[in-house]
Amino acid sequence: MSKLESAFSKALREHAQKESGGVDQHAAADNLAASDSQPVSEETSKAVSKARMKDIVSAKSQIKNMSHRLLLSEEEMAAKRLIYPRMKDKELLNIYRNLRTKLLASSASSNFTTLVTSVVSGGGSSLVSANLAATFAFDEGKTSLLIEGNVHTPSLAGLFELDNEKPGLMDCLESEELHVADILYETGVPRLRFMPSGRSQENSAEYFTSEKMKSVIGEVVERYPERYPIIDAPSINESADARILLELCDRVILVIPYGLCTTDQIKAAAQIIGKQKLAGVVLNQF
Amino acid sequence: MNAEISEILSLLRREIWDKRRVFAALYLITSLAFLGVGWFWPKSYTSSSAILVDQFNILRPLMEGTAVTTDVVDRARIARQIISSRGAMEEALVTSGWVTENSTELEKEKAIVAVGKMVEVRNAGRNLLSIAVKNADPEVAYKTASAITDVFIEHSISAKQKESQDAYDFINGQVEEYQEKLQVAEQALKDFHTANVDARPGSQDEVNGRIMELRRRMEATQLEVRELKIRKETLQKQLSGEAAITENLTREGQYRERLAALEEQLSTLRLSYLDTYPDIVRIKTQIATIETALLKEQESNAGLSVADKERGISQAATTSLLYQELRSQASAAETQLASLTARLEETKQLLAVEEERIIRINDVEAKLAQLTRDYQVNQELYQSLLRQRENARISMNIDKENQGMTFKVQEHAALPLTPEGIRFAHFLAAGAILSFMLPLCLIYGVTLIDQKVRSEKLITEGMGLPVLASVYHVNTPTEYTLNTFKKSIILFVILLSWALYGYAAWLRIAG
Repeated sequence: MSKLESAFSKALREHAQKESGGVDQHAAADNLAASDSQPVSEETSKAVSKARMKDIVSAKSQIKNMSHRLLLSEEEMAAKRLIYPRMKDKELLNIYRNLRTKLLASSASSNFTTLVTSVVSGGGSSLVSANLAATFAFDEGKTSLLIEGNVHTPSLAGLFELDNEKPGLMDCLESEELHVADILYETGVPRLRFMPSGRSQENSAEYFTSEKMKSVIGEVVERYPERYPIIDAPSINESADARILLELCDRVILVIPYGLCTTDQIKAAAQIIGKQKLAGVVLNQF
Repeated sequence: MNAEISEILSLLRREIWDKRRVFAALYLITSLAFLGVGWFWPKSYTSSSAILVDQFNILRPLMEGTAVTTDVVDRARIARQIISSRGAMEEALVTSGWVTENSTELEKEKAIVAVGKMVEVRNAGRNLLSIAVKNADPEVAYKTASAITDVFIEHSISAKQKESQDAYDFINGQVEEYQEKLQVAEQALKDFHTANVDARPGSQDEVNGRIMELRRRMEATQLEVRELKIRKETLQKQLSGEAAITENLTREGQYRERLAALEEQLSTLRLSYLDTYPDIVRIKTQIATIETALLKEQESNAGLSVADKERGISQAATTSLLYQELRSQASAAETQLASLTARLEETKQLLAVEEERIIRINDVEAKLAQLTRDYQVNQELYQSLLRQRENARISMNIDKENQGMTFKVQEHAALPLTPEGIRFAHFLAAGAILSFMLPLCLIYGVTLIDQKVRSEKLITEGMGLPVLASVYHVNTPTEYTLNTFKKSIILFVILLSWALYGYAAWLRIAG
């Protein structure tokens, strides 16, 4: 790590501490881990480092300007089972960090979109996607966006205590007047934004296959240079929405809940996703 | 610890917690069920007596081969039959107070059926019978067992005596029957002997010998006859060619010559036969005739003159000596032939008589053999039955004196103090263990049956999927408190069931 980067990281941490009232001690390490995980050759390393450093500085300056409402306290985070950098359960924290690192390592491009789906409904994919998004947001140079893809049984809005009447993804897809910026909400977690599903629509599949949906995804990806959209989708075996959303994503994480699904169901889900997009499985409560 | 066992234990812990409501409910239901069943499970007291069946008393070796002491192989079966007999059972029920003499038949019948179900008779050992009575009331069990034991012994002894008496009576009847048969056979044999005097041992051989002798004699006589006939024919041929007169002999001389020849012949015959033999008798008669003629000739010669004598001599001299000799031999041969022919006829008659006799003797002997056989068979059976009757008499006397198979109460029925079979404590122990094990096994069985994935190894090794992370459930502070409360409830349920068990046990002990 260069002196410049260290100094910058230190200044950024101090700033964030002042703003959020907490210190992200692991942000620099996360950043380093993310940077180290990239497969870079020795010859091009200096040139890439310079270019990367420019991007990081640019991203951090943009992210720094992100507005933040009142942040959630540690107690509130714990009550929502959300992970946070200073949590006592370091094991779980490290599990999510490793998960994030593996995802970054397996993806060639930044700002990739990740779909989190479960083999069966009730598999815990919402909490996994929320915590994964929170893990991405640990890094001050990155921002994550959690998109509620479960239109019929949304649960993330409740997690972030968002009013159900607030317009969301379906409203945006339906309305010409609503823009992406109008449906992005603060979550109380630094650098983590949330896009609710909005009003429940019976023909949600039609909206997901629309061109506007593609432009919405593109827009949220491009909004910030280091943004990682994470879509919480319903069960891949049980919902057509999940299969459509699969096409819009770069990587897919399959959540396998303990004692709720059979091997045949897992095999079917893995076959639907395909080896190309399947980043791997997350075992929930094994 | 084995990794597999550790995995199973971990799985069970997890599944029990996930299905804690089911587990707690099953635990409570099972433990209460055991408690309830144990509480209401009827107590069963057993009073039993042991009866020694002594077959080998002092009399046994002494009477070996003579008397038969009653042997019983399946004593338990016979004992059951004796006990379940109406007479014995009624007696036992009256003694033990189940019924009275004045009870109705219906009451008696019901009591017999009820007690019959309580009684168990079995072979406790080679010579040991066990009579056990089960009842909820220990005193009733004791009284009934005592009464049934006494009645059994009493009835067994009387049954044995009756059996011996019946055996003796039967054999005695057989003896009398065979005695009559023997008498009939004896009489038949006696009558037969009277009717057939010839029928005596060896008579057949004697007659056969005689027949053979007669046949031999007949053959010899026939041979002699043939010889004489040839001789006679030869002599007659010689006589026909000989000069009639070659020499003169006096008549007196001729008589003398003839007499001498006959006497010689007589003396020869006497060597072989008695004087009564026909040839001897005949020759004697001829000798007497010739002697008479000779005397007459001598008397006549005495009155004649010398001239007359000479004339006589000259007359005799006209006959040839050789001719005379031949005539004499021919005459003798003729006489002998007639004698032999007569003898042959006589022998033939005797042979016919003997042959007829031998046929008769064969028939008689066959009949005699049959009668003798009947008699011997009857005699043997009769003697055998006589011996058996004496044995049966001794056996009967042994049983009368109670010296045969004896029954002794080895162990008297006692008042049972502790109930038998499954007791309340067993139910409590089983309840304490099984109320844990049953839900545990059910939950584990469900995990085996439902085919749901509960093992990381199955995903990584079985399906080859890359595992990015394995996250676990983190309790929120509220959940933590709630879980503590839930654990407390489960603990409370377990302690409650134990407390109930303890209270029930205390109630039982306190009576």
